[in-house]
Amino acid sequence: MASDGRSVEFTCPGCGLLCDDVTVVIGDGGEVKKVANACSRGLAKIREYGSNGRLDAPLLKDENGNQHPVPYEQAVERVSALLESSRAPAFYGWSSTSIEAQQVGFQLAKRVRGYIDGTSSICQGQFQLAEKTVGGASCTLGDVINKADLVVYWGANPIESHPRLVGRSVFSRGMFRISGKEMKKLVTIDVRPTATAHMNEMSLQIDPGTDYEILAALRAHLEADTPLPKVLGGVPRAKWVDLLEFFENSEFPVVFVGLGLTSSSGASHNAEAVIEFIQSLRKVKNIPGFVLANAGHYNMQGFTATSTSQTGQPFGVDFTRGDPRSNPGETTFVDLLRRDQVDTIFVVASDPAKHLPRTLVERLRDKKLVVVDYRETATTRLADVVIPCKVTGLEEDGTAVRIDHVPVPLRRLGDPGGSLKSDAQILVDILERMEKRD
Amino acid sequence: MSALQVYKLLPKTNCKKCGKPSCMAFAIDLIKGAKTPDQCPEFNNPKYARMLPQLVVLLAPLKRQKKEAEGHIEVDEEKCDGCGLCVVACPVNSRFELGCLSGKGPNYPPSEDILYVVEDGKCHLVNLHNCRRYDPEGGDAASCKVCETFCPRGAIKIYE
Repeated sequence: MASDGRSVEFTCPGCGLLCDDVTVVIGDGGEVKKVANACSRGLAKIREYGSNGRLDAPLLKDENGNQHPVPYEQAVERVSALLESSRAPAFYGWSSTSIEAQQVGFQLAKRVRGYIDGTSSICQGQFQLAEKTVGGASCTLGDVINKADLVVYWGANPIESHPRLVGRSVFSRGMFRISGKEMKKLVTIDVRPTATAHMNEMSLQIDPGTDYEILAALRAHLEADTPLPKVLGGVPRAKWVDLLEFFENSEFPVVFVGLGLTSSSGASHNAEAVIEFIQSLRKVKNIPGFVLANAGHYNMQGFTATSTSQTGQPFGVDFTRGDPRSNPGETTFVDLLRRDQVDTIFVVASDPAKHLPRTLVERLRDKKLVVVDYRETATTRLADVVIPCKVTGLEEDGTAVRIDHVPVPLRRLGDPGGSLKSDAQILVDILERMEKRD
Repeated sequence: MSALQVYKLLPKTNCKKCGKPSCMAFAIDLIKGAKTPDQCPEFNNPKYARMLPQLVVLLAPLKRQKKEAEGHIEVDEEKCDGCGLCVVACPVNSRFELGCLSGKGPNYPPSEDILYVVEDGKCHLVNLHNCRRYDPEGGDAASCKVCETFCPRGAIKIYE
């Protein structure tokens, strides 16, 4: 198969899996001609490279509520003035940009004494909170390929959320698992039959909201030999005994936790229960088990890593009193909006107006809203200032953190030209503008 | 392949024991697929037996073509979401591409040995003739249905 154009080895910023085996063929006109090895989700992201219909100049809202294009310097000036005059600014988004931009974001939040929160607070942040509380038990995806012999997807449907995860974790052959799927058992635990469930050794369809109860009962059985009830979570005891046998007979079990577990009632306590179950397995049976969270946005783990390294808190950080504090449910973005506790909102690489409930979107509209994004979204339409940027990972280099906490460099496909700057650079410019004023 | 090439590897005795009037007529039937080499009783004679393996090798591509014509594999691009599970699971892919062995995609451009590639978010079937199902000496592997069995979207269909 002949290829015309320039082939680029590429790391896909489509989801938290950050597949590094993708090849993109760039045509002579700088357009994406062909994408090999990327799934449909990754393809949709990669097609954004140099795409048409993007914002090309900053927009500023006038008194009549109409947005007008303005020079970049004027927009930066306006944003820095807005942030400095704000009593309680909130910075939100961050999961779809590089660690470099996130670091500057924390500097900004600290400087203006605001709140900073990532999209993880309404996503896998609950798992990260659990990791902070009871300690993590994570391995790398390389370990899963080479050593894992039991892969459990709990409340996760990776065929939809991370299409290539099943192929890369279960069907891959590794050093100690040379025949791949034949040596790796796959178990799915979910409230409904999923596309992932049809190829597994065991599929357990549990009742919604019973995750904590199940995990607590399994752990009690493991640690203190407490008898399991006849029916647990809508599934007969015999099935759970089989599952425990799978765990006890495996050498390297890995549990992938999805939003089905962390976003159902119990939230972070469910995630804690999974980690504690795995810890019990280590303690009682001496089996090294691991838990990984299926983070959706490609750099959600990166935001947690940045936030934890800079403030000690995984998300929802409050700098209003100078030192970093965090109380999920109080200092997280949704709760700040709900209580009407912020006056300026700075959104980077996210579209909260599309994802949040209508009442909160109305609050969002009433605040001073600044958005840094690469294309027009529901949020940019509400914004007072919009600064368009390059797409990190496609048009700008950066670093992201994979779902297994491994930092992965993102290499750009090329420079599409134009006057756009990366979001990290825009944040630096705003920060420098503030410093000049001092 | 000409009938003369096949004829050269036959006993050329025109014994008619195969039911054909001459060895040349038998050679033509071999190419058509109407006869198989083991229907020639003269190959039991040690004098001609050494020619049989050469004849089998010569006829192998024909056998493969006949099997391919009988069945095929279809990929429904509407259903496929490019998860690449077939790329990793396919034994032929993992035999020829080290990347597929460890769960990665094949190099680009793909080699002529592999069966499945994911391009533009969809799975494509290339080099179907390399599939184990169409290998005349495939044995048990000739009933391989790994891709169809594990495709999570039910996008791959094998017609026999």
